[in-house]
Amino acid sequence: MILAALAEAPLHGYGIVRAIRGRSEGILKLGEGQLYPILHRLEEEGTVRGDWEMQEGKPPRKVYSLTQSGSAKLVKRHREWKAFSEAVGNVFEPKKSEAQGNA
Amino acid sequence: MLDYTNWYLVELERRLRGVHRSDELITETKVHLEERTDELLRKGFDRITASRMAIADFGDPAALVWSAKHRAFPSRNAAIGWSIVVGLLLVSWMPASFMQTFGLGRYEEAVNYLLGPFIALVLTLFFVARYRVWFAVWAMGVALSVSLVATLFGAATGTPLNVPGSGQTTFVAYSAMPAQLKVRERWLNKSEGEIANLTALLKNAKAGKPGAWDALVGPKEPYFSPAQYERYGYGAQILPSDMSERWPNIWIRLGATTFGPWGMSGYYFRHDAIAAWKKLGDAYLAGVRAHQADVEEEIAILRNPPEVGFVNRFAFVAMGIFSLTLMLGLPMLLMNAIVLAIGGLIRRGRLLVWRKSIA
Repeated sequence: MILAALAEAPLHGYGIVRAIRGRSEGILKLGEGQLYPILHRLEEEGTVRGDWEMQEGKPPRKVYSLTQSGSAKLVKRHREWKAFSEAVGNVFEPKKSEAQGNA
Repeated sequence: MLDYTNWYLVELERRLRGVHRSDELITETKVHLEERTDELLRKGFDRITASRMAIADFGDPAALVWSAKHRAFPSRNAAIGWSIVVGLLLVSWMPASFMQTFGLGRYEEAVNYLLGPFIALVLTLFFVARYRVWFAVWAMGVALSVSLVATLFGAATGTPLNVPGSGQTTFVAYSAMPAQLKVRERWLNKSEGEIANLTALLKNAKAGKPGAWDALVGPKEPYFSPAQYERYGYGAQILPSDMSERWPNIWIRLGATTFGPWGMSGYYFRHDAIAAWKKLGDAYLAGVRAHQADVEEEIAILRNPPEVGFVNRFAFVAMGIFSLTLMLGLPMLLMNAIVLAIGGLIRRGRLLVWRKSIA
């Protein structure tokens, strides 16, 4: 989800929280404090890149963006999630033909 | 007015002291809390409420600190990599043991033994650097200090340390390395008279005189004295162990040298095996007779003893340090791996908080 949030544009930590909250229409909420250690790990792994951005009259903030390997990882994860969610969806809402076949 | 944000940051800073990249975490937390508070202010909340809500959303500082401290083992790849390192540590002694068993570098065993730990150490340091497993550095440091003290103590006093417990043999053997060198030197510098005596015994044995083999390698054990056992404990076994390297039964030899990857427990096993072989009587003597050439070779070595030079001395001490580091560090590393792996799972479980049921 963090990678997906960064796919459209580089964001800082709170920006990521807002993006996920906004896109999920408030259903999903990140454990905000847990976000930063994860971002640091992703940075050390080379999945994301962090650049400090200076702000006038405020402390600098770190803006994260996806690296090439991060983008590849996102595509892979997205594919996995799609397959999983489709499978779960099919269990809850079986296709008509299958439902008739079983009946 | 009570400044909750500032209080939170001070508390966080206190708890994050010494944690990797704590400065960055604090700065990012500060920016985060300020932005969230501003957003809530814009929505009409008063400052105190907004500040408290921002902190509540950010979460317990203890959870963040735990996460920051244990974040080095989160990914599956890192877990697999770390497991491989631990596995390599476990088997690192095996090649050295086999090399020694088959007689490679017989009088350079220190170098052989160094190979495994050296590879393991390089790999460990690589993973420590790659995944920032700082706890592992601490564990290695503690283990290294203990082993260094033990080795230096052994070197200074020539007395093996007797530490009760399962690791006793290994600990004693390695801490006694310099003492073993002394025994070896003493043995290799045996007087001409002693060597002549052994040669005579061998001659008698070859001639088939009753009791000659027994006198040479049997119950009297001419290679080391009870006094040496008293003085040097298991360290004294190094010498007779070398002498009994050429056991006729290859499986016992393998068992002796590979039994327990930490090496020296093999000598303990060997000691028991010697006692058992003595009881076997004829079978034992027959085995030794079959390896007459080896016994002759040993005596030839006695006549022309190899040098125990500085490099070998250094290697023995280094071997003691490395092996004890691994011996003591390994359980800590394993515990570290388990704790971090569990931590990773817990953290993943806590990452998502369902605000309301989707159903």
